[in-house]
Amino acid sequence: MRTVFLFPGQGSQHPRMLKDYSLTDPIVADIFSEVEQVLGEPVNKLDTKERLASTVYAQVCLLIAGVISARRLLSRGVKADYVAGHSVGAFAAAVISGVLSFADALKLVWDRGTLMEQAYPKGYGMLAVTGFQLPRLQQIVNQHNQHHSIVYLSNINAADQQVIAGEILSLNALAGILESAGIRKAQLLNLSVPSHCPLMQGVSTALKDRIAGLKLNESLIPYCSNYSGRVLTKAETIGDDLWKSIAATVKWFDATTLIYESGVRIFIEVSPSGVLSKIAASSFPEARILSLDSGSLDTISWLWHNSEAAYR
Amino acid sequence: MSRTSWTTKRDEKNRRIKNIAHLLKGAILKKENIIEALESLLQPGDRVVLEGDNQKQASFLSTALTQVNAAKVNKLHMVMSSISRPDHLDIFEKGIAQKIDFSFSGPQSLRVAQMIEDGKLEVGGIHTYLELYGRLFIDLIPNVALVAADKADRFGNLYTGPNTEETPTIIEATAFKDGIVIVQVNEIVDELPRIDIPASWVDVIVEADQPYQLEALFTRDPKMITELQILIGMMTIRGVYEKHKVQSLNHGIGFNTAAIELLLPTYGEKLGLKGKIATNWVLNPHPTLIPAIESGWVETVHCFGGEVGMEVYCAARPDVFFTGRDGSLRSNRAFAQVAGQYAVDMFVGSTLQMDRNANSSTVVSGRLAGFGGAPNMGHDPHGRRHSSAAWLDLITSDDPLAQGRKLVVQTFETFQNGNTPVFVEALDAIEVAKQAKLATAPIMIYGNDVTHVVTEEGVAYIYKADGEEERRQALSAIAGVTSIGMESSPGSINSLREKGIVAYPEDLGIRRTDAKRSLLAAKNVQDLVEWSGGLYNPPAKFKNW
Repeated sequence: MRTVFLFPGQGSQHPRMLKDYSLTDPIVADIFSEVEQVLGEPVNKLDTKERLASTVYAQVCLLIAGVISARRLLSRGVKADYVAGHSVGAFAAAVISGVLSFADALKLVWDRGTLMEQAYPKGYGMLAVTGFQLPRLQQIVNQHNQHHSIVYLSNINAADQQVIAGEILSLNALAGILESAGIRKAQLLNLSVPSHCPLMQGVSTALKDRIAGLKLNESLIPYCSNYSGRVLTKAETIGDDLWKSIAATVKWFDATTLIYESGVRIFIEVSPSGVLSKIAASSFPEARILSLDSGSLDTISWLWHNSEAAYR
Repeated sequence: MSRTSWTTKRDEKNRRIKNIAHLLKGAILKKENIIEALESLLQPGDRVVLEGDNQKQASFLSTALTQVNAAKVNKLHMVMSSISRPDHLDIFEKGIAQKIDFSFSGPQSLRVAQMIEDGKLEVGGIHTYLELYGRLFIDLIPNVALVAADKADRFGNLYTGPNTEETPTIIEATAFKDGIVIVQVNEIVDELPRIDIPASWVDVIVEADQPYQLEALFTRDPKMITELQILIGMMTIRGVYEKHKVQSLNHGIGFNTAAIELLLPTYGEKLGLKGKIATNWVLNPHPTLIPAIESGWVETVHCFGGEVGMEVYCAARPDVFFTGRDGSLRSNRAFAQVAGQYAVDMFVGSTLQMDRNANSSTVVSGRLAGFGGAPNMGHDPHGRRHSSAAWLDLITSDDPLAQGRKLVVQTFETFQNGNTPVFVEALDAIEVAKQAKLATAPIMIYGNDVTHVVTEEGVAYIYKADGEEERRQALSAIAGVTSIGMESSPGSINSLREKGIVAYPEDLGIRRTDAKRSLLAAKNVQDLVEWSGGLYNPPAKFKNW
């Protein structure tokens, strides 16, 4: 009976998402002071509605919430056998795994968000689709790409849930084609950046240089790769995953299936939770899914200790 | 030139056993010494059978094997009918094992595919069960077998009980070719309920820290059966079982066949078919068969393995099930597999994909799940001699030497999960074979073995079709609104119906609106328990009332 911590990516942020963290908790106080040192601003200025509309602040706030909430769980004795971060969530996962310091992760995420935002300011986006298995979707996308501006498979989240990135005009046309083929849902996401596809090659290369200049530490908790869908244990390959994945398909379904096959039966999604819990529940109906924001920290820790004991 | 010795294998076995003599008391090894013993008994490059099918796992031994020192024990060639547990692949990650021959890897299908791609797992072959069992006696003869039993006595006799499964087959291939047989048991007792394996076939016995892993895999909750599945079940009973007078059979494990099991005592009874069809089975003890057994439909059932919760029920029905003198069920996977392939008149199963030629596959892109029992069952072994009514009824020519056929029936809804068509232009299995560089595409049942296909649209008697084109038209006529179904024309459908190559519900006297859940003899697991008179004890996860 193993446990994974899931770290959500962009789309999971919401205004004032950091407001409930109390400075009386030393975990929170440490992180908040590091944030202020690195960014030169207090945390309560970062998670406003206006700022979260920017990719940069959304990603930074997700990192902060992910690291704090995972550390709080660990401090209650909840143990993670694996960490898995979705897209930018991978940086929080790398921090909890021990590979990246929080301060380094913060600088990287700030730069990543900034570069992403600058790379494709307008006319690009992402389309979330639900209902088709991958081979069928891939076939339709390949045909579509022969007549339209090329779009890319950017996320494989579940057996029948994927995301496609590219020019909005082309994505809209694809949505029409998929709908007439009978897909259950094809919906443009509220994102202006075509993440996880070759359009991000420049961002990927820039991140590679920055990560090369960092000192990475030994990984203490195995880390699920976005890029390869494998479990990684070496600091260097985890570092590589962080820059490679921005320009490549996120293999979330593979990564989570792999750890399920390896014995994970408890999935805990850290804050701000919901999206990854839903995906996990649809992929692994027999697993125990704990969404951190669905209860108090005490409740979630208690549920974990209980489930863990039941299976031991 | 003469050989210097004809007993090299036996000598080697004796040498290895002698090396652990200080750890043994008779055949009994203490569990804390298992790793030390394995490091002596296993040599690099050994061929090792680790018992594990889709239900029963030698879990203590597989965990112990992951803990041996890879500097001492390595390059093992594993032979396993099922790759089920994380342990089974951890031994490859750790460099203890190198190569594997297997049948089924459903619970580890992604990790297997990744490890092959990453060069961490070398595949000898992906076999059907019978080919794998057969080759244990030909060119995959084990040096060491790691197996599980319920109980042992102090002499080393074994009781394998309801879940005997593959144990006798594996031990036979090892023990009689000077291999070493190591058995984990749940407990060592003074007197066994019965002896399933005699002590002289066994070398080492270890009492495990906890009972071997056992899962309920064949329990289908009737609550989940849909009215579409009931309609398909009714058509299958009328259009196949009744039409061909099928008496001996095997069922797959899906909800479609569970529906049929629950329709026999209601719908089948109304048709007056009791005693005329579905009397002799090779099947795991499916809880959904309880109502048919209780209402006197079922004469005999031989089982591949047990099913968690069915132990007491099976023991109480020895007229139906194979049981030992102690009363408990005796299963034997190898014999059941032979019977299912060669002795029964019909296999009925389901699939996730079928192409125009009726080839079917449950393979999913990027995964390597191997095969379950279906490729053996869903296969017409030709060459049969016994002349049952069903076998003879499938003769389609006047040739005095014409052979009968086994019925291989596929039943499914034209769309799975509402919008994924089952009928496809090309099976995903073809792409998977390319990705994983397999010698052959992992087809579950070959189209030329399939005799009938039943969907919610109707029955296609494809064995009757004259040539490939007519076969395709027959499939198209029952393929609904899938792209393959859209190709059929009213003209061709009429002609196929007139020839009896396709039957729609109305041709079988079935009104679609009659397919109601009220026809199921049991509507939920609690009903099954009631039918069994309280003898069936479902696992906790099915106790939802």
